[in-house]
Amino acid sequence: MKYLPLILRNLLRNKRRSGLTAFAIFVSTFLVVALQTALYQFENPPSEQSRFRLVARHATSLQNPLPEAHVDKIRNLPGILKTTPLTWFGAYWKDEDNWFANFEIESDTFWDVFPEVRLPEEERRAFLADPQGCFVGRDLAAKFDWKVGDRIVLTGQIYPLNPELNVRGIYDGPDSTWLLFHRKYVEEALKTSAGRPGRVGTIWFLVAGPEDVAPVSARVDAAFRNSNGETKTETEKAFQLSFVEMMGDLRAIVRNIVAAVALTMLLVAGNAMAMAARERAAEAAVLRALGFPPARVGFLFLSEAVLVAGIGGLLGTLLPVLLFFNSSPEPIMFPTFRVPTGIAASGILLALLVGALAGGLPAWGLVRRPIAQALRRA
Amino acid sequence: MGTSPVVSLRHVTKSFRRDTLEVPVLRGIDLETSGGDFVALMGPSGSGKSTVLNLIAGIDRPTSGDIRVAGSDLASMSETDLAAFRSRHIGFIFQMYNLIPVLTAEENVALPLLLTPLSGKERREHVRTALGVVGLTDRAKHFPRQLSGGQEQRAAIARAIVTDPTLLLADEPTGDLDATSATEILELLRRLNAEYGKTILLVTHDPRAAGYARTRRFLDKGVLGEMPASYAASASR
Amino acid sequence: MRIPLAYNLRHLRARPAAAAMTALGIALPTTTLLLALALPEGLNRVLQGTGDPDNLVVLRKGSTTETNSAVDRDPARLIATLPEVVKDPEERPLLAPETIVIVFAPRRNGLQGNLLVRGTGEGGRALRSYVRLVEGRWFTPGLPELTVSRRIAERYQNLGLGERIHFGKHDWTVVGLFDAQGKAPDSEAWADVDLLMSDFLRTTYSSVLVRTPSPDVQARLQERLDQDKRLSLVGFPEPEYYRRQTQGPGLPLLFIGMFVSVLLGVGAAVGATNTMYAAVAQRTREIAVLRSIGFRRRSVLASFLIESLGVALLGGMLGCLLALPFHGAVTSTVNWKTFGDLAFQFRLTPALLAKGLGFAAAVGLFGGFLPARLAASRSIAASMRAI
Repeated sequence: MKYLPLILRNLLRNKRRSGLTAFAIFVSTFLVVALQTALYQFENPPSEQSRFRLVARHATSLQNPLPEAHVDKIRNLPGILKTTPLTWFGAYWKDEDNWFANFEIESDTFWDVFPEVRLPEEERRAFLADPQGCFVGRDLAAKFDWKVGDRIVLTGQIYPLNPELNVRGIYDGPDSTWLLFHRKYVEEALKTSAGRPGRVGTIWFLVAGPEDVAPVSARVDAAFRNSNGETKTETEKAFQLSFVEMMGDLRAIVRNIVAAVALTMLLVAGNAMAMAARERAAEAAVLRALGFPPARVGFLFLSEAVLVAGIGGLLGTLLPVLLFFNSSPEPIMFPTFRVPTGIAASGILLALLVGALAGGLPAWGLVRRPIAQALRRA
Repeated sequence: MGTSPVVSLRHVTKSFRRDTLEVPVLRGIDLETSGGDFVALMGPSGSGKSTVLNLIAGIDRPTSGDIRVAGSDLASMSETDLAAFRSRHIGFIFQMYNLIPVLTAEENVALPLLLTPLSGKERREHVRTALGVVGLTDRAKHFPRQLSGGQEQRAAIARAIVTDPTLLLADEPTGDLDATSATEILELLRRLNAEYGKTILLVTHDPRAAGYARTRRFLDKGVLGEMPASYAASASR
Repeated sequence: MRIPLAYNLRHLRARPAAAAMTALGIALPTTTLLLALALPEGLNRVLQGTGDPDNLVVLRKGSTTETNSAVDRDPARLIATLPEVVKDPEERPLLAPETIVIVFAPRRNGLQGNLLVRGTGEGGRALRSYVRLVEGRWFTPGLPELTVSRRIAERYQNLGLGERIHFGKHDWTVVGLFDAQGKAPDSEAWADVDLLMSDFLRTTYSSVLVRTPSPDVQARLQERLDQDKRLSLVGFPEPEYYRRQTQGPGLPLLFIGMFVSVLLGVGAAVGATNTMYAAVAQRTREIAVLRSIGFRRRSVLASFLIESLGVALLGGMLGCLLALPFHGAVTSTVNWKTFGDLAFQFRLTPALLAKGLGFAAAVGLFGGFLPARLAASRSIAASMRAI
């Protein structure tokens, strides 16, 4: 690397331009990495055993509940380890904009299937002992400033019931943005309501391993075919993905944005390198007159571009990695927000590629131009 | 053939294309220079002197004719071969010095050595020797903008001789200098020829500069010819 | 004294590649911004443009959307007897008890969609006169037939004319296509309300849509529903019912779009800064000459800012042009209030395009400011020496 000093000196020759260009690439890479990470988080929600956890829902519509009897039927099918129903209650707190996930749970079996929801033992006992008890995720509790012992009244939107609940515990888990309360409480209160009692939203269950996923899903769906509650069974991941897809074709949107960002980055860097090449034309000719092979002269110039882009890309990748290492920009949307290695690598790679392309054309121009002609301008 | 010429031009023509017009610059040049010679190529501006130099350095190609330099036929060489040829055989000295502004004098001189397999230590030695020859040892760490014109040109000459090339090509090396500095540079060139046996081809329109050379050739309207009396008079000091 | 514009123009023409790259660099963020803004614009047009002020949507008290609502048959029958309800020429009350089902259905792009199927009847069609049959016929009561929005037919698999889709207990055949002029029903498939309810074992309607003769009468009906505790119903004027759904859908996408555009805009501004610094460096001597002629610092500053602004506006216009082909393109997103897909068109209104140009101008001024200030601040002597 005997050329490094020369490359570095040239880079620092116009510090402002090199700095600004690196900054533009830094911002763009940050954007690409952050967006792709957000998409990744959407598509791969945090879960400790999602591959072995399956969910059965009504085959026609999420809006349709399943008969309660399904829970026991599934529980008794071969290949199924633990089962619990989970029902979306769809209430808000005080104001319609205070939107958050709230579910009714079957309290005896809930932890069999969701062991990652960690509630201190005494809080758990307090919750189980109180028919109007509920427990909430740490992030949600922080958002609404709820504490153990608080009494909160939710407004039901789907069912004609406004649950009055006591906060009995605060749980930690991969997704600590839920509120959970007793299914029995809702059943009691809605005993006389049409269409409600004896129904559950979704049924979650564990299977022994990934090889069981397909056969057990098929078995469950077959058990209810042609009944009033036909089911569709899928993995937890696929289930959550279906919500993401409701928003639109996020993958296509992110792909297009990344393309626009990359192109903008290329234009900014390409323009900067073209300006540098114009100023450097005579010098490149001198180097060639001294006997530097064309490829070497081109390489020297290209290295500059790749170095500037690489620095910008590295910082742009490091920022989201550091920024979101232990926190999330939007806990309700992204419970955890870590940058996967592959995405970090792709961010740096994209920056380097942009640098190579931005430097490539001007470098080629420097090398291709007749030396005598370039020297005359010196 | 111990006396085989260092430079041999035969029937060399060169024309430039300007829009649809062919503008002939060289109309058939024959020139031979043997080792140890110091030739001044003279002529008015636009006569094609620099073009001859560029052709010999292989940074421009003739329209027709043969060019052999240090035993190589330049016509058959690729750009990369030509670069290697220049690195080994040619030392170029420009009118505007053309030092790289972001490098110090010694770093500029070391530049051509980067193309050789020499180690860092050997490179530093060569640079010190070259700077010593041109008398610029005390300015080694200076950047070009901190040097006077004469000093810059001396650094450029050090850069040209540091690889010990077969041939030095100087294109109006004193064109941008005051009289004192110009004399210094010309003396330096003469010393390189006399003491170190360097073969030098000097392009100049200045008869006084040409006076330092052993032989003088005159280029006018694209052909080499007799030296006009006016030039000859001022050239013989 | 102003430095003539021709001066800037000539310089731009002398370096067309740099100007073009800078402009294009500003065009892309502008396009991104326009597309992001066109999303809520299109959504709002659907949701704010739907609904006849003479219609009242009656839901169960506490509900704000049909999806969450349940209206028993008895109260529905009672509404039909109320004096506030307009009668048709045959003296039948003009109303439509309806039910909403959200059905999983594969979209043509391979993703799963959430199709809103509306069980309705003759009254539903009469109350929405803008919905026009464009192909085939209306569904027959009692038969598993669908008449779907043409826009939906294009976006979903198995919903083309003559095709069949399975949900509930039947294979439903698409017998007709309608056009709802871009309003909310353009995201819906319509079927016979009674058959749909029996297919989904429903005993309740989702809503009752009622025509009232005047705003006064409508207000009276709203009040009567509100007062009657037995009914436990609530009525929303139809336009308000749809307007209430506007905040939710599209917001995450708008947020992402704005975030991306602003950051990209910063990148593009940096590109403009680079270009303008190069321009200033190139013209150092010219600037000194202009100053020595008598142009003031302010004029030099303005001149360079105008040049940067000009390039940016060029980029802004290019950005508008790049975005225009998306105008009218149909896309959909989930309506979080109903959990059904809501189809809408990207809409680039003149006001939006103006916003895009404003954004580009801001990028240009932001990017050109520092170089322009440098140009204006140099002393004449220093500039002369710099050459």
